[in-house]
Amino acid sequence: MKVLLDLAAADGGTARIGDTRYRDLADPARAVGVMLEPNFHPGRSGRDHLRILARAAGIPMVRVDEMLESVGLAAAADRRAGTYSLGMRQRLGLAAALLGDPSVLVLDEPANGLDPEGIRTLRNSLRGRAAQGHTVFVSSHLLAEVEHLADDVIVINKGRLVAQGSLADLQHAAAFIRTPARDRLLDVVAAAGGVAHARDGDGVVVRGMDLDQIGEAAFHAGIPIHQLSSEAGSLEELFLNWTSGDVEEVER
Amino acid sequence: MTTWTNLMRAELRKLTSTRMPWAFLAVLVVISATTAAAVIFGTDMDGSKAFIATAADQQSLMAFAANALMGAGLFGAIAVAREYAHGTVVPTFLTSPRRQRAMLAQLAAVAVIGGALALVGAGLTITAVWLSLPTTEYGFMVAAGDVVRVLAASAFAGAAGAVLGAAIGALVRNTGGAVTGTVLVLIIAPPLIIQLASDAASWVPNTLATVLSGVGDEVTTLAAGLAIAAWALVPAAIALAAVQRRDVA
Repeated sequence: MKVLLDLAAADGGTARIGDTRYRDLADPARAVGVMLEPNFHPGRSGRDHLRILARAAGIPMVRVDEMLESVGLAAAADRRAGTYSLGMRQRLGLAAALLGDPSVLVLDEPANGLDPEGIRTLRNSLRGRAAQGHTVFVSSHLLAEVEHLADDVIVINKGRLVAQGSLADLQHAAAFIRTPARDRLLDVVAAAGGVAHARDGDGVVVRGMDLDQIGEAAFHAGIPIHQLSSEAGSLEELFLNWTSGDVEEVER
Repeated sequence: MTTWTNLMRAELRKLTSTRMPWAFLAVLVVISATTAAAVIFGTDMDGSKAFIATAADQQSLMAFAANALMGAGLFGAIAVAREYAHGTVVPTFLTSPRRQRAMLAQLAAVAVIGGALALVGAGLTITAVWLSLPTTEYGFMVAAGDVVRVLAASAFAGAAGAVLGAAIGALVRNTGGAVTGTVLVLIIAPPLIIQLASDAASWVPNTLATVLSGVGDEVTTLAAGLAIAAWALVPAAIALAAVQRRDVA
């Protein structure tokens, strides 16, 4: 996210938002709303924090009051941000991100510290913006929340892309095979360009190949198959499968 | 739209929306009270009050530029280093991804507030001397023009000191380190430089500040002004060059 926002240099390549590097955006505060970790001066009030951002971006001050109202911080707006709870800081961060009514939102762990009602409000707000045609890019470790929120998912593990696609596709992107020749099947799948890892004794989870391809590859290799089925599951289960598989691949 | 004027106004708001300026103002009040106490109760070694006996002595007592340089230096260093410590520099750079522009606005804002604080400090000190002199046998002897010079020198030194401190703060990005760096540059390094090159004595910040205040003549006033500006602008230029290239944590 920091590379995308020009806060950190990329090891290689460039990151763009709508074909434009962040630094080249004509009016970044109105184009991209950002919420990373809470960045507040503890001695400054929430209202002043937003006023400073609005002033810097040339956003009318009336938006400050509107945003404070919309995130439920109007009553605490003149308190110093250092006295805010984690949830209040998150809401102030969200207000800051929405200040310029941007068409793209980049949010890092937006639900962190929010109570269930706050999470639901956040989810509805973000889904509403997406429904209006805006882009909402969220980073989160709360995978159950991501399932409620996201249309498309990118899974990154230790800095490497693990999976990418629509949530519905990803939830059915893996296959489960039961075979007495597990190690041979792992080799066959790897040779065919798939990614496989062992599970539960004689089980193998494969991604990157569909059921037909797996069945044919096993048939040609003379590997008996006792079960071949789609591996559907929650995003959390899939994530654990994908990432544990990477560990086993390294070990192999 | 993010214009330079908008950024400058936002930076001024940043500096005035915390308690830090008030803390520095409190220090200025203490300094002026101490000056007043020195006038009322202080004596020379021989028990006389020769240190306030002439207009030059009184002007020297009121010359606030050296204090302004140091005080505003600390102000600038803390103001900018805390931006990094609290992460508030992140929204600043997100609003203005061309970071040099944001940093120029930041430097200009600390110069304005640093200069204003120094002006207030000089005014308080002059007032303290003026109010306390009647308790002695001497009257206020400094000419109006020299009072204005002391005020102007303080404001200029304060602005320059604030820029110097801010530049160190932006380079070090740590409050303790920035304060230490500013003290190092303004207090510890000059005597060491003089040890290495005695001719440099005329060009260290304290000497230059006394020249600006009209109580020293080691160099011309113009040269002193330019040299103090250079003490501020060189680190500022280094900070401006560094700010775009470095990652923001």
